[in-house]
Amino acid sequence: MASEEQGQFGEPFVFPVELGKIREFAKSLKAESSVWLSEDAAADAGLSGVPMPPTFPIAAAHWDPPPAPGRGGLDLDLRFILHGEQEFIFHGPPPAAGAKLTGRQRLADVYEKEGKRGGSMKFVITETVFADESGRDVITSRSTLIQTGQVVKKEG
Amino acid sequence: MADLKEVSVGDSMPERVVAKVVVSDFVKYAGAGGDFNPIHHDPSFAALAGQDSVFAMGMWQAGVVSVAAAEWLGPENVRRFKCRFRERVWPGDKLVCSGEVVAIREDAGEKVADLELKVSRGEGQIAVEAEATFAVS
Repeated sequence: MASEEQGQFGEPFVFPVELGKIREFAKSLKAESSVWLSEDAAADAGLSGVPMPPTFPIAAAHWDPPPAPGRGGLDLDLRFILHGEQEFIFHGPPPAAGAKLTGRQRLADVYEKEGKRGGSMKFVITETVFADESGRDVITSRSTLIQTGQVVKKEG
Repeated sequence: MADLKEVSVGDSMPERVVAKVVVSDFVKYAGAGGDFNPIHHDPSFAALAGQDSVFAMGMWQAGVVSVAAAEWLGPENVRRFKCRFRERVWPGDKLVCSGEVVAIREDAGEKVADLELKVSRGEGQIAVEAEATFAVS
């Protein structure tokens, strides 16, 4: 389905890259290096700041950013949503702790397919573009959500 | 961390093993990243949704392999990370994160390495397939 709104960017939202959140995030992902934990360790490794883990931008999705225009009209049922794919593109070294990013979301694509296990499946591709304080785009995040027609049981 | 000048096609990332996944792993990740979907921490909700137990957020196991790769080739060098979720990860699973350099090329004036990464669970079933690109100049 293609609405008038699909493809347009939503309202901007601020995504502060916080040191405490990076530390928690890295530790929860079984990080072994101390570069994620302290400015001194990052400096010892030759970095200008504590780096974000590659998947850190996903955290912005959980802080209720203004939705992509058209998203509300998709009638998604949260019981039957699967996360199919996720991609992060960094247009240079990833921003470090202290950066203040501005994100905007858009519905990049929506389509339906017949699934093998879950009946008809709806694919929803949402793109979030983050700019730094100078207005330069630094990260593009692309998420593919799949709505199945029924509960998908354990695979194994 | 690897010596970036020496990175070449066929190089393997040091394996990273999670010996036994526990529900606390999901709870810590929920707190850090903000994914509070109860299907990942509330057994009664998981049962209502027709699941045998809570299971991991796909972004948790994808994040674990991404951090392993970033610690190998440098967190400041990551340029792209893409993951596909194949099988879900359940409490009690043993995970093995592995990866290999599949190409060295030029991109936007930088020398970069393309990696294929995966997270295996149980008897070797693939939970996550991922691709990553790191600057290696």
